[in-house]
Amino acid sequence: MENKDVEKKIMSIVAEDGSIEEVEVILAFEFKDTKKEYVIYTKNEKDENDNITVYVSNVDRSSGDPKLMGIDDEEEWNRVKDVLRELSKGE
Amino acid sequence: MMKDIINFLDKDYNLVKKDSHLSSNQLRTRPSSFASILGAWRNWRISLAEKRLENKKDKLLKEEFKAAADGHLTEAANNALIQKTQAIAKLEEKIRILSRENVPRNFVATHAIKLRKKMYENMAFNGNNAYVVGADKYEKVFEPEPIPVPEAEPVIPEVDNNVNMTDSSELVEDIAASADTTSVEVPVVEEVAPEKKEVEVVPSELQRGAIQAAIDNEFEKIKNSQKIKMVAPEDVAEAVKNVSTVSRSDIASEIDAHLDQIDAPVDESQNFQNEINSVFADADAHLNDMKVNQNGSSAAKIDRYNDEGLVAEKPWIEEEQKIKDDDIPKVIDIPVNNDPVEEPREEIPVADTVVDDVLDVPVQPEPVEETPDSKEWVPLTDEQIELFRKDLEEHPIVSTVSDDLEDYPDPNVTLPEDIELPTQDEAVRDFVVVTPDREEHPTNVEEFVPVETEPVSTDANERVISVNHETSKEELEQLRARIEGLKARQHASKKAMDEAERMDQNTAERATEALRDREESDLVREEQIGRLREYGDALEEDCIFNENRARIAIENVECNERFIQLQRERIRDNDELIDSLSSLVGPEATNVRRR
Repeated sequence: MENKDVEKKIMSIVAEDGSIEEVEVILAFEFKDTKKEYVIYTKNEKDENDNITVYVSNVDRSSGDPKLMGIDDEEEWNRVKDVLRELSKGE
Repeated sequence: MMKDIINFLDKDYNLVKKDSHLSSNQLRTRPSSFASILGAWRNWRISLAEKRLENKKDKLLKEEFKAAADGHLTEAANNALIQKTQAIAKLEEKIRILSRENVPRNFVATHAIKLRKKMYENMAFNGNNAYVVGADKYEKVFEPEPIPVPEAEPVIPEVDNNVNMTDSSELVEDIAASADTTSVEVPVVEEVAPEKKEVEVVPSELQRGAIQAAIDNEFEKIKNSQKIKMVAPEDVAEAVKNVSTVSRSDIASEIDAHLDQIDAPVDESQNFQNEINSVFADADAHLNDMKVNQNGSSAAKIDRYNDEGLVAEKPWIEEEQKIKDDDIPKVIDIPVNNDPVEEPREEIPVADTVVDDVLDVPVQPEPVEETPDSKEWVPLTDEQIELFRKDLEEHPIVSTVSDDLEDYPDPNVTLPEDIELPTQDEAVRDFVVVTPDREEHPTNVEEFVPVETEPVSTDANERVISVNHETSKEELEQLRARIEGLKARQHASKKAMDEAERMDQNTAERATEALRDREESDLVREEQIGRLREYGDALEEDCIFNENRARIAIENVECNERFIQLQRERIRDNDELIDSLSSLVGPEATNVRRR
């Protein structure tokens, strides 16, 4: 088993133009009530204050292949942020 | 508790698609928050792996494997056992790795890239370097030389999961070295012509000198053919006293007026474009409108001179033109080089040696074509000069230009700095506590030095003297450059605004569409619920009705049975009565009855 695959979960994102970008998944979960799947990943981008930029997407598997979708609903986005806020505090 | 709301997931995300640029929402997290989130998920993965490990161990302990006659395991059982133990070992390894503390966080860019066969084919076909490839390996991979077809079956190596590939350049090198592109349908490889070479013309040192001399001679020839003689700078002021030309201030003022309109709002982009075009046209027109003095000579346009001075020798010159000797400026012949003008020119030597595919071809200067501007100027007639003078009297020219260039500060035009266009991923939403260090971008300061002007002179006899036309040209060029820069800046800003508006509009549209879809689905659901309720009510009523009917039917049956029972009893009673009566009446009554 490749250690890096275990240590980091890598996701390859295929863009519309066919280019592939590899990112690292840091969290994946689904809400129990809506069963909607979300993935949080990072490209290890840091700003001047060492804050790390993370990306949140909804994973749509209805068409067979997984597809990343944005979160447009404000309420849904707030729920996701609440989850991240709770997890960032540590359980 | 998060456990009550969400379920962690640990699925494979090898290849996922992303349709649009807005397929993800961004957040910024502190390093500690990031570590907590990552740690929470990792802990869950560890616990999941431990559970699976326990299950597998228990299953393995309870499982029975077939043994052969000699007591050893059969081959199938042995293989199954090996697989199970390997799975357990992998899980243990996974748990061990996940449990490691202070794991160094390597950037994704250094992670070894696994290339599937199809991915490699696509990469080779498209030629797009979507992966990190060493610069020294780029040519080897994407512009390969014809790869010889090996006799053995070609195998494109696939990266083994058990191999710890840490150097992506080594991986690419291995792939390039052992890949057989001929066995794979890769049109890019087939189309590459490795023997494509370019012919480069590089004159040698000797030829450079000869070429340069030839060029100089040609220019000299051209000048001498037109018999153009240079005018000393000190004589220019005196020589152009009668020059009536457009002042530099006019040009500058007009350009200023156009430039002022450059700062118009973005909506006037079309007018802006028209203004710029007009400015250029005006500048060109002004340059071309350099007037010739009455003597037919000027610092900008050099007329035909003979050895004695300015004399119009062309037959097309009107005889009415009178040229005074006093007005003829003295000119000084300044030969370009020491060579006599009338000497014939030598032909340029031609060398044609090919050395290492570099063809030494000397550069031959192109013959100078006569343009209309190079023709001799037509001197103005007295009438025309008189008209100019009258025009100048009516519209005196404003500024006075001195020869001292220090009076005019350099138009220190600085082009604007590069504009930072907003990227598509900048829909940033603050998360946790991030103190945004918002610094306003320094405004682009443009130094614009207006051309100094003096009050209009009431003396009609004053004339504008434009000494250094080259300086005005330089200023014009600088102004043109500035205009171009402003134009580019405006275009970029407009483009950025349009892009931002389009993104906002797209976001709003998607949101409204999502809302609309949800509302429609809610309405449909409510309608369905209403129909179901009605149907339920109808069914209930029907049931009640049926029950009533059944009950009534049952009651009818009971009544009928009772009636029948009563009738039977009556019949029985009647029979008993008849028997009793018949016993009383005797046999005769019985016979009568029988009849």
